[in-house]
Amino acid sequence: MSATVLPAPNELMGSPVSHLVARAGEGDRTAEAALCRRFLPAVRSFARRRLRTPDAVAEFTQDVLLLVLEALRRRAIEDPARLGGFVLGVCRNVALDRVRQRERRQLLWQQYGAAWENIEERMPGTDEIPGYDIIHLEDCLNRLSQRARDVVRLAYAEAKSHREIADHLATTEANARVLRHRTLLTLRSCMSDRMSWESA
Amino acid sequence: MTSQDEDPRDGQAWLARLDDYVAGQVPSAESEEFEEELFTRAASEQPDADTAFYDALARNAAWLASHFFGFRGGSTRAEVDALITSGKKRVHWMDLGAPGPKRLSDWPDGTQIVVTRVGVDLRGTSDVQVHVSFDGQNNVKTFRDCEYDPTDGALYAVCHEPLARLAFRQPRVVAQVTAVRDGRREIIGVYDARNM
Repeated sequence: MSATVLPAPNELMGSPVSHLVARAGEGDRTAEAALCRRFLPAVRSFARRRLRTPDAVAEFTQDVLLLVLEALRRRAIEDPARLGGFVLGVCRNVALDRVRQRERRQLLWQQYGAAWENIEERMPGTDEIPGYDIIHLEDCLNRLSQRARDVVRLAYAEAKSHREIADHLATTEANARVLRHRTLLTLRSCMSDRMSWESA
Repeated sequence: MTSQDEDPRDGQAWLARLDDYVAGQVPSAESEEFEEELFTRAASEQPDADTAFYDALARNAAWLASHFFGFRGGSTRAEVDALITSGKKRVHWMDLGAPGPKRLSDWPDGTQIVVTRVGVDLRGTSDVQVHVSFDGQNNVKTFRDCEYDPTDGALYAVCHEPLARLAFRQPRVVAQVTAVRDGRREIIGVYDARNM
């Protein structure tokens, strides 16, 4: 099991959000955590479009999901079946008003920080042994050409733009986009299988 | 339809769209529509495997980028020496020496990084590849674009211990090093290693 991905409890994996919202409103912390985990990838993707550094993305994600936690506990979700739209609205509001948000963040952190720490998917420290997901990626990267490895580093580790990637690889912006997509799909396929050493 | 039973091509198209969105390549009007879909998928009963993959890739790639060997097909002797002498990591050094039959032994508990020196001389070659099998016949994996040390021509493979354990703790590991010299690919050396 990966050290970097916290699975939601199995019993909640296929539960409709409306059911989870109701349970969260009744004080079920497991349902609350499952809901937040479900939205983590989408919220981070929203943040990555606007922010570059991993720390900024993490802070934005925390801001959004602290507000979602607050709304769940206050039973303030008017239409639980439309929770996706609600979370997106929170993302847009947070993006629009980061200054005001910083002040409010401190208060929210005091109230709901403990719950957030239980939800957050902690990355291993640089001196720690990495989990399965990371060594699987390390294994898949070894199969790529150096050019493709550079694309992964520039695009996903360093969040460089197509223009910057094109400059680094001495190619056109359009070709950088093609290389990026091709490499992404190759990695997706590799990561969908077991590691080469395990399948032998 | 869930992310589990969708046509794989739909998943590929979605990943490409997500990548364009994150990279800022989608116009504002379209991106709002995309965001609606992103969060509708997030709210579905089954987790969106493609978005989760993309998210994990960004986080894990950033973590690997903090290690000098994370995105390289090999390291230099100087980099390895600096890693060992820094004392920041518990490093296991394994010198396979010249090609031929080898005996592998385990490394100490708590090892974080394994460095393997492959004692071939690749100077004057390009496009170095290492083909690995567990029986000398059926290829398990090919390491591409391997980087050799310019001073001694050897390969210094550096990886995290869990990955090295998977690769080297097999009963038998056969590694064939090939490279292009004068326009032709040739076999530089074959290692046939067995665990003690």
